[in-house]
Amino acid sequence: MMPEHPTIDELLARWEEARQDGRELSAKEVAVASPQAVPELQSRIRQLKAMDWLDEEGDGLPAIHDSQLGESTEERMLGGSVPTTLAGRYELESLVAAGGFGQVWRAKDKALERLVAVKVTAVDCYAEARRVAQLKHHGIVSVHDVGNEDGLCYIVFDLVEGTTLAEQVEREPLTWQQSAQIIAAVADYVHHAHEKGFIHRDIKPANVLLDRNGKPVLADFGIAVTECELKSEAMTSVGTLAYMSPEQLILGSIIDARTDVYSLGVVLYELLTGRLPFADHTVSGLREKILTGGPMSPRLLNPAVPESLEIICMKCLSTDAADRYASAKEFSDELKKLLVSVA
Amino acid sequence: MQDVGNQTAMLEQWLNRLKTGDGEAFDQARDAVIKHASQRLEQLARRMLKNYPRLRRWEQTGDVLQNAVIRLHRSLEAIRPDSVEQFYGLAATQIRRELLDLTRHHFGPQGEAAKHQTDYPGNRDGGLVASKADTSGEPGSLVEWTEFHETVQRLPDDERKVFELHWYEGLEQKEVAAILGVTERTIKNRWRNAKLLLRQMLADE
Repeated sequence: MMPEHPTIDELLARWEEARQDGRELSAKEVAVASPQAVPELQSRIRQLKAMDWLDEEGDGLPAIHDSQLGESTEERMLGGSVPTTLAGRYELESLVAAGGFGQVWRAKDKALERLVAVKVTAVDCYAEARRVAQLKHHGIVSVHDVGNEDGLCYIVFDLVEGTTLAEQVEREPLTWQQSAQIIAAVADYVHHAHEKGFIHRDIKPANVLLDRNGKPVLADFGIAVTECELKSEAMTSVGTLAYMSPEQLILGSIIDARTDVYSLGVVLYELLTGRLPFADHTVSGLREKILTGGPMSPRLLNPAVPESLEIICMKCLSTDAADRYASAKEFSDELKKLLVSVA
Repeated sequence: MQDVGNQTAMLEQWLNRLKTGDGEAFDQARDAVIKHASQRLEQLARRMLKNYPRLRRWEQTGDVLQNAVIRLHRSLEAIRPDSVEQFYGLAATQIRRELLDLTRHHFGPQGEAAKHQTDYPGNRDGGLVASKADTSGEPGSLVEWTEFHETVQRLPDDERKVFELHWYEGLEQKEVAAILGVTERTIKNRWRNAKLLLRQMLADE
């Protein structure tokens, strides 16, 4: 029973209760015995309705973990809106990959009559194209053209026919010798980029392409930044979490060549053991593990791995950058030395 | 609210452990509460970014959020709570601080996000999004979200506490009642007052 002269609070409580039962009452219906309260009640009801969103459950958004753990479905970003021909020249044939920064298509360059890879993204990619264009190396995918069309930005690259290291590992595990050879080669390319002032920051098996002869080629310098830029901006870390170094997880930490050495170590660990050094079903759990360090010995997971290779791999995975190889070259040299010693 | 199905049961266990001084079991319950707070932070941050689909997709944004979650985790680990109320209260405050930090330093007017176009309907020309239609009082832009979190801070103590536990922590009203030691009806009244006050304070700004 409502009191004879209910307060506004009591009337609002009554309105809320009815609403919870699925009955949307007007102020007049609620304050039927106290018509003088109607105008104020109306105003409060309006205010409360405007705050209904606070009572909504969830956020109605897809799980953020997916993209952070590298399982994103970024095709949605571009949907079906990608034109079939860009600049009247690049005929998109088939989708090769979709990642954090857009889609990569296998395409035909009609002017030069050759196959190319075209990366299409919804964000301005001129800066990325300019960066990659400065890196001329046989082990780094080179850029040929950049442009805008229909609000999309595209970059034209060499098409590397073959597979990625990620696909290769999924299909068939590599021997430790093959793993060491591939990583030594990639470390050399990375060192070349470091010498030019670039840090890749997103080294992972999906970014290492293997051509038809099995030669690795490094791709996706999309987030590579020059050391100069790192110093001038408070850059936050980017990249796929599982391959990220501890310093990439801490704001304000120094990111340098040793950050890429760490990621190369993660890839080597995965090639040797078939597992990532750290795994967790939650993003926060994975971060904590990376920051804490101390992965399981690779030799426990694969007894075929020589002790000296384990030592090299674990050195790359040191939580403190000062304990890692100072350069990718130093790391590559160690791997090559080991390969020669067992040959 | 999501992910609170087990909160009541856990809360009861936790209260008992505090009383009986069962250290290890208490630590486990505390870890679970920290984990819950981290999930809640992620959920609320995603909600704030829902009008910024492009921004949300940037891995960089994800990383900024990851860093916020790490900091939340760390700060809560360092707390030795005397009571469940104190702990949940601090957790909620930390969540709010991280959300404010996300908007102010990374997505605010001087932040990276402000320079970028969003996909918000009717605002495809760049810049920050305009306010959403007034029929929904939900902040539309990150500037508005900053105002919102700051306004929550200025609510009277009773309303603020309920708001923090119910909205930032995502606890059900009956759980909030148990923590604060008042009736569920009182919580309902304070929650309603909090919403009315927020609406008025935000409209005045």
